[in-house]
Amino acid sequence: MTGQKGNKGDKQVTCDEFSKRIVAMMQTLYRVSYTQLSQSCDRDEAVQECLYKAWKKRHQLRDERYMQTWVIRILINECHNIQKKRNRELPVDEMPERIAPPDVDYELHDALFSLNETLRLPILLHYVEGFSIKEIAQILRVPQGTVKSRMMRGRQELKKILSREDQLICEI
Amino acid sequence: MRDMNDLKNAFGQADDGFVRNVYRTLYSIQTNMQRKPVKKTGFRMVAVIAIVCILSCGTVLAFTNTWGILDFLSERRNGAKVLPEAAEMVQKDISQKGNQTEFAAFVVREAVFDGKNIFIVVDAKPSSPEYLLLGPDVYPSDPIGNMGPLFSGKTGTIADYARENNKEMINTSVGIDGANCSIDYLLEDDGTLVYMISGNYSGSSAQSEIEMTCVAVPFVNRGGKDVRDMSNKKETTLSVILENSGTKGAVTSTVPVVYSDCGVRVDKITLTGSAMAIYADIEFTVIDKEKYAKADGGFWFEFVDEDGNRVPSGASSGEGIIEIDEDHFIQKVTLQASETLPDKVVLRGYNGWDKNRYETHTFEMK
Repeated sequence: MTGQKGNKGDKQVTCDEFSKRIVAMMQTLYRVSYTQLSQSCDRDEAVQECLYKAWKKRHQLRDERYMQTWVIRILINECHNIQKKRNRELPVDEMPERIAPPDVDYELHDALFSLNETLRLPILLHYVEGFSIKEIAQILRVPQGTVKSRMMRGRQELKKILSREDQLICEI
Repeated sequence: MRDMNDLKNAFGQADDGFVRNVYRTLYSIQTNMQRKPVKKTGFRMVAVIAIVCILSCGTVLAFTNTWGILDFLSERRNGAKVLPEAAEMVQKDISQKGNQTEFAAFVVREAVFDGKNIFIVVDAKPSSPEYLLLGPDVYPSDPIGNMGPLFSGKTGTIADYARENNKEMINTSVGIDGANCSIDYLLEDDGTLVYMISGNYSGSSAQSEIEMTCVAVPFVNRGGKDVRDMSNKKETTLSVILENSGTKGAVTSTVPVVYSDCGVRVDKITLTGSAMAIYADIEFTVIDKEKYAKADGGFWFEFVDEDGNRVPSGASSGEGIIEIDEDHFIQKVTLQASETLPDKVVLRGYNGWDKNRYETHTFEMK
C-alpha cells in the first residue's frame, strides 16, 4: 500500500515509510506512554489510537522532518484522553499502582514517577528523548520559558528525592 | 554518582505486548482494516466491579463451582436481560487448541457468538496447587478478602496469604484478538480463575475462528516490592472455532435529526436484534464544531424511556464512539434483549464530564 499525493501537491509519507518511522520510534512511544499511563492496557489503547490518527491525518503533516514531534504530540493527547476517561471511572486514590518493569533502576524510577506529570514529561522529552527546549515547547504547546521552568523544578525535586542516597548531576 | 543521562534507566525496554500491539496496528493500517485490533478497554473498571461483586456474591460462590455465561450476565451485569432462547445459543463442546502455559492451562468452557458479539467463559487452571492465579488488575498489596468467599474473614494482603501458604502468585490475562474486550473474573474453590470475556466481533459466516492471547507472569519480590517477572512471562495463543447463531432482524430510523444545542446531526440509528441483546449503532455528523468542542470529548448519546430515564444497557458494553472521519462518528451500544424491536426510540445528548443533558428527540424505526 502506498501513500497518495496531497491535494496541494505536498508529498505524503507512504505507508511503508510511516511504518518504518514508527518502528524506529518504538522505545520513545513506549516511554512517553509509560510516563503518562500506569496500565499496559491503557498504553496499548493510546498507541493504537495515536497511530490510526497519525495515519489518517498524515496530510496535515507539512514537513516529514517533524513527523516524530507530531506523532508524540498526538500520543500525548491520546494519553490525556484516556486519563480523563479513567478519572471518570475511578477516583484518583483508587488508581492501581504502576508496576515497574524488571530491568529498571528502581530508585530513579520511583523518584521520576513521584514527580508531577507536568514536570516529568519535559524531563523525559529532553534528557531521555533528546528534544530541544523549542521542540518540547511545540510538542506540549506551551512557551519555551514554561518548559525551562518546569524542567528546572523537576530537576530540583529529583535532586531532593535522590539526595538521600546519591547525587544527581543536573547541569544542562 | 548519577547524572541526568541515567534517567533512561528509569524506564525498561518496551515489553513484548507493547511491541506486538504496535506491529499489529501498523499491519491493520497497511491492510486497511476498519476494525481495530485488540483494545483492552475497561479492564480496570471491570476489575473493580469484579472485586465488589466477588464480595457481594460470596454465598452464591460457596455453592457454585462452575460459573457460566448466563450466570455472569444475571449475577454480575446488573441483571442484564437475555431472551430464554439465549440458553440454546451457549456452545459447550468447543473445538480448541493451544491452551497450556507453564503456570496455567486456559480452556474455553462456554461461548456464544451471534455475529455481532462474543461471550466466552475461560477456565484458567493452575498447573500446580502452589500457584495462586490473580486477574490482570489484582495486586499483591490488595486485601486478601478481595479474592472471594474462600478468604472471607481473613485479614492481610494477598501477598501475606501467599507467603504464609507457600503460594506463588501468578498474574494472568486473557484477551480476544481483533475485538474490544471487557473482562470479568472470579476465583473458584478449586483454584480455577474463571474469566468471562465479551467483545464486539462481527462476522457473517457460519463459523468463526477466534484467537485468544493468554498470558501468565509470576510475581517476584524485588527490593521489598512484589513485581511481575516479565523475563519469565509465559504466553499461549488459544484458538477456538465458534458457531455463529446469528441475529434476528434489524430496524433503522427514517429521518435525520439535528441536535442544535450540541452541534450534531443524527443521520441514522440501526437496531439489530439477538437473543443476547439489541445492538444499537448511532451514526452522527458534527455540524457545528464549536458547539461540539464545548463537550471536550465527553459527548455521548443515551437511549431514554418516555419519562426521560436512561434505558438499561444490554449484556455487552458496546464499542463506544468510533471515529469514521473528522466529522463522522458511530456510537455503538447495546440495549436489553427484547422479543420485538421497537418502532420508535428516544435519544438524548449527554455530556459525560459535566453530566449536562442536551436535547431529546424521538425517532421512528422501520
